[in-house]
Amino acid sequence: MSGRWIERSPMYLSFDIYNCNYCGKNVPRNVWLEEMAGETVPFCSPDVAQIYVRTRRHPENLRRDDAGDLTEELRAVRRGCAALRDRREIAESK
Amino acid sequence: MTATAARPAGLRVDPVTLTVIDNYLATTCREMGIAMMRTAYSPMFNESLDFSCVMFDRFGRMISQAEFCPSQMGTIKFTVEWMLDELGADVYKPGDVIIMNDPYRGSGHIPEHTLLKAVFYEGEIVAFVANCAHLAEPGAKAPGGLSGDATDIFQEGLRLPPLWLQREGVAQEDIWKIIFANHRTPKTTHGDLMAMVGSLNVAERRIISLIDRYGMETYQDATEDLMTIAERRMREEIRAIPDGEYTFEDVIEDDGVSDHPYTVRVRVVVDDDQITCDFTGSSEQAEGPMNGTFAVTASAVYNALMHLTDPTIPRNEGVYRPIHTVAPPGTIVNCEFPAPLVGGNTELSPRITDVIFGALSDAIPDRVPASLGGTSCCFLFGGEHPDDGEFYSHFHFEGIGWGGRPRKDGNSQIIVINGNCRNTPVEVFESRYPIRVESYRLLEDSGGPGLNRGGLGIERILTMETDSITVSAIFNRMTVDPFGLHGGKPGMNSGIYVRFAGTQDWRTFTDAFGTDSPSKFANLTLRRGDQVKIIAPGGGGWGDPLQRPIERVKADLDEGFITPAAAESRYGVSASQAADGTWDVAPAAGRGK
Repeated sequence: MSGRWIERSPMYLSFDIYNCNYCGKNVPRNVWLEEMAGETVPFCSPDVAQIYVRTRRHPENLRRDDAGDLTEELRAVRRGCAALRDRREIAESK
Repeated sequence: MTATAARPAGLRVDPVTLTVIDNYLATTCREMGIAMMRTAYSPMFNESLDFSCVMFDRFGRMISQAEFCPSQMGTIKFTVEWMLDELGADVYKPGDVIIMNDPYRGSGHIPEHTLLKAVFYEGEIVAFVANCAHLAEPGAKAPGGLSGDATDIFQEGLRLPPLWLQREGVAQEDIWKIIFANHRTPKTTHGDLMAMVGSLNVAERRIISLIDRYGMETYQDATEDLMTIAERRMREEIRAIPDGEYTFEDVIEDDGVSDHPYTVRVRVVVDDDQITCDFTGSSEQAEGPMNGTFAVTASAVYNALMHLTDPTIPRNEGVYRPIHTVAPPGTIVNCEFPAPLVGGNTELSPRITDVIFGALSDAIPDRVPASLGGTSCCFLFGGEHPDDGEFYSHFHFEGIGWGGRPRKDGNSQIIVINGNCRNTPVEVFESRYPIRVESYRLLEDSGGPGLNRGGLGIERILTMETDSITVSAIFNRMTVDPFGLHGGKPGMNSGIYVRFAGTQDWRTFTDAFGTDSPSKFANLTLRRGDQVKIIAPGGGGWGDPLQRPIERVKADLDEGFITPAAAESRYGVSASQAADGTWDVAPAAGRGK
């Protein structure tokens, strides 16, 4: 897996919208772009991208029985999702 | 004399002061709403109350709201976050007002415009105040904006990214001119937007006054504490729900363009003090305007859970922290640009609350109601007014029956769960628009039978009193029943029908006009004397109707809520009318007492 953070700039000529491919949230500014099978896929964070890949949400894993327990998966997402960080913490960390 | 009290662990402000500040903030939100209601031009504001007023701290975290539209109060969290993130934190000056309505930036749908203002104190931003309101005319293909047959977002109105409507107190005329040029009713738009600006000014004054009274440190500590308290209390509420995974699904019956249903599927995962509503498995996004964005779906999730938990928890950022949503992109619960979506905020949103109720109905059976009627019954119309030649435009929504509850019947004729609004009064129909209300009544037998009956829907008949009027509609629950729970039966379906002047038969709009959908259409022309009949659905029943006490069946008969035929066939009660008009009842064979 490989990816990169980008800072989305407000584009008015081409309206690029990034929804986290795991949870679906619109990511206004800081987006993690993961390279997957030749495609660039947006996520809230690299941690969430990894969870997506190893769980049954990834198309290649749809039929896997060992793709993991959903409750555990969601716990991991909550720990890794940048969109769930408190906005004060984000502001004060800059 | 100053009251003091011990501070609970982890809090910085004493509980008395916290309570005073919490109520001050919520009351200020209400005062913002009153300012809008009293100064706006359109019945959407001053009668229907289709707006919400909210306050945020300097980081963009919600610190207070009040009893406004649940769908707006959920989406405005995302709208304001987006506005602050897109524009940046340091671009605001005193007196600036920003406007945005772009659904792909967090707004619920195009008619709902959000205005945002930074509040300064001694040169520093101390809060953001915002309101969100449904303008009756957003410049869409159909008057009123809800185009039931739209196939992309560009048909749904003028889409505004974050723009300065006012800079340092000065109106930005270029922006106003663009808006006025695109709306059919610019005078009304002007009045309504200025009412929103005035509402923000009220909140600005109140926050400054609050800081003058308590000081900056107490204000900031109190808002932080209130979020902490709300989060703790919501986590306790969630902890009371048994851990587990709960699933349910229902459908949007069609999208106005194609005639197949769209599944809304949820898996609710309760994990100690956190809850996630995962909509993986829902249908792909619709071709027509029944889609929702992530913000609409997350807002409906919040709404459902607020209905099932303690209503006294302060409503701020804290209550949202333990509630999570997974809505895969490209589905009906999170459509991708440029999909149409104006009906998602009115029709998909209640379906999402319904499926969450359904999913949790066995986990917390003592709290969950049956399905409500689940449609806003959106009826829109516009044209040139015969009295003055000016264009008018209006969005009417109808009250519906709500689902039977574990301890009570469902309420009758209440606006849909995502609305908390009011319908258009008869007097407004007849004084401001060329429409006469022929009849308006609760509809007998429309509430789903149950131990606790579903609330009743209504029937309304409107007569057009102008030579030409353009009408549109977005309804749901016309073919798919509002479901009952725990043995309760479904509520009655919705309907919208037309009867042309001089004819006898009520016809569906598909039959009369060839629309793709009988419940979702746009820009049809009616003539003088034509009539429209609106049927608002009933709520589903809760519990076995044969267990409904016979005296409550009699009371329903006496009130005209059910017919004697329904008493017998649905409740197992034989009824005969006495000379004085009251009903004598007796259990039919096979029914308990």
